[in-house]
Amino acid sequence: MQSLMRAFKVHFKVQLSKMILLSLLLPCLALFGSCSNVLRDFPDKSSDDYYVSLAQIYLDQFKFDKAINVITPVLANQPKNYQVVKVAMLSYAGRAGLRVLDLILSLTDLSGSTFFRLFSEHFPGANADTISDMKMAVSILEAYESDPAARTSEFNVIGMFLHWGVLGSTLNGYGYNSNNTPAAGFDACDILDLPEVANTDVVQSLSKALEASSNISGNGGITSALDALLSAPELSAFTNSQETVCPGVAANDVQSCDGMRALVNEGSAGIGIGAGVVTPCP
Amino acid sequence: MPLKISSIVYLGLACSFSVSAENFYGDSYRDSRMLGRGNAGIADVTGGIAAFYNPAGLAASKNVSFVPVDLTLGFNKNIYDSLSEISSLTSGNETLSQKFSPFLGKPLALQGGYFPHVAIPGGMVGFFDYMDVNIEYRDPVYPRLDLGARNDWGLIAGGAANVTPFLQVGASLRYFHRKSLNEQLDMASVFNLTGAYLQEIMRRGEGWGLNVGARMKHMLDGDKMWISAGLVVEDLGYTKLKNADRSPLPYRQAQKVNAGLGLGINTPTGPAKVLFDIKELNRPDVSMTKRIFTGVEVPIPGFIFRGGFFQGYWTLGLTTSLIPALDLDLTTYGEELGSAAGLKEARYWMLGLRMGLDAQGGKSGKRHPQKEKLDKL
Repeated sequence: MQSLMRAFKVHFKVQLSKMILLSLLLPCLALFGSCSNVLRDFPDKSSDDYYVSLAQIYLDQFKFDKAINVITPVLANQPKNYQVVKVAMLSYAGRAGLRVLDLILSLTDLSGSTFFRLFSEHFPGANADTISDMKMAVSILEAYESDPAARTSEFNVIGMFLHWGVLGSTLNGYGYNSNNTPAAGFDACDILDLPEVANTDVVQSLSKALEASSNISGNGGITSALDALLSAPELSAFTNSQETVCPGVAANDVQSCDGMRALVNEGSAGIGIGAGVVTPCP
Repeated sequence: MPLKISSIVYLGLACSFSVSAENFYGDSYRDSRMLGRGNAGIADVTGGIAAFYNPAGLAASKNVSFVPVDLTLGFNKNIYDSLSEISSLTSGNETLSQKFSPFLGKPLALQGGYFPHVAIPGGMVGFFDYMDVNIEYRDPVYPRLDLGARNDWGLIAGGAANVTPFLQVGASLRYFHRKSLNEQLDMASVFNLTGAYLQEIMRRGEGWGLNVGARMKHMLDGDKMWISAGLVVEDLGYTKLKNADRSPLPYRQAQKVNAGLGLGINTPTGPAKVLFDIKELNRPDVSMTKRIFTGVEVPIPGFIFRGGFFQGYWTLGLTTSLIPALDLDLTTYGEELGSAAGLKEARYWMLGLRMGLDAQGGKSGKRHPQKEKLDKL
């Protein structure tokens, strides 16, 4: 019996010493966790793969400036590389503030807002840099492939949001104040005072967003839904320009003018400022 | 009307998930003890697990082993970190993208394996079930969910022989079923994710995989030291999977050519080893830093201690015997997720349990720290 007890004590001591060792080892392992990779200085850091991987990591960390710095030289080498183009345009769009997840969720309930207001207010405090970043993202996409029909469905989804982003950031930059509400007095007629480039950006973006959306595979309903949107009275001017709405505007700018006015005009489709139906400006 | 538009946009987005390459490069099986030593050991692996790493190692075993329980479970530290972030999802006025931002770029991963087997000198047969799951939320601008999951289960048998006293060759054949998910899902797909949709994109297949290997071992200084070298071709000719139904097929298991060197020293407490492997020699397009695995294994009284570097990230492992015939493994290792070492680490913490009996213990293939006790059984 005594020998059994002695054996038990020995076994207990051995097990106890193991537990103590383990309890000391685990904190040491945690401390080791801060060590970095011993091979980190050896990879070929001139390879494009390395930089694409690094840019993607920066993108995940919201370090858009770094992501752009890293991916720009790679993009210069490979402007037709799908993954490179994707990372590059999302880096610029990210810096501009585009967050597709929030837009998608907002689209589920537009009560109290409008389609265009949603995009405009998605870019609070938009300025020239914001608009420039969005336009850069679009230019990267179009340098990759300008024809939406020849692009992948994924790129057309991204493209659709990029174009809406240009539209939204432009309207916000020119028509909203710092607390992200429409600037007092900013109405449909003020659109005529926008720089022509901004006017053109908005109208072209609307057109391109629709074109991209119509080339998303499996989305048979998108085009018809957006067509219905465009047939709304506020937007009919976009396709049926009426010179009476934009007096004194050169003939080749009439459609643009009308389109802009329609976008910001009141109604379920417009941005929600202005005086209701499209009427001639004073 | 707005609701209708958004619903249609959802449907359009849901159809835009992409498909990755057609080869699957994941390991067939990962063993916690091997991982503790940097997953290195092409030149010096014995016991039943050799069927996965280098079947030639089966010739080195002198024991008859019956191991009904060989269990490995592990998770990466992001799972623990993420637990504290979950509460933020339901609080505050942040937008959804802001709420999800703590999870960005942090893969949540699980691994597990079960490998009951019987090994005899020169051969083994066993059942295996290995699964790994890796879910990663990426890209704050156009979010996506990288979904990688795989479960293999099947039978494996291997044999090896001494061609010369210094050279062993071996092969193992496994028949396995695989279920896998390898998709990048955009956010619309995620919101519409249903069990039926997961079943739809689940890849199913079965196949035969053949590993062949060779190993050279040369004793030095009497029998006190040895050097060894190994070469193995995993999934010779690529393992294609097929199925009888029309579900999507899993990607074929990629052929890998792996090589390793080892140095061993017999100590009073057992063999100590230094190991160095270069894997996937047939993939020069992959950074060399992702293909280097090194490790050491040192027996100390009551324990086997392991350490190493897995793609440059440190590894540690400890095996001890809780009670006779029941071993416990504690292991941690880091894996590179980027295109080269040092970019992005996924660190795993693993627990291994092994219960079994060895008989007729020999000089080689000593796996248990208290094998002497096991042998007496």
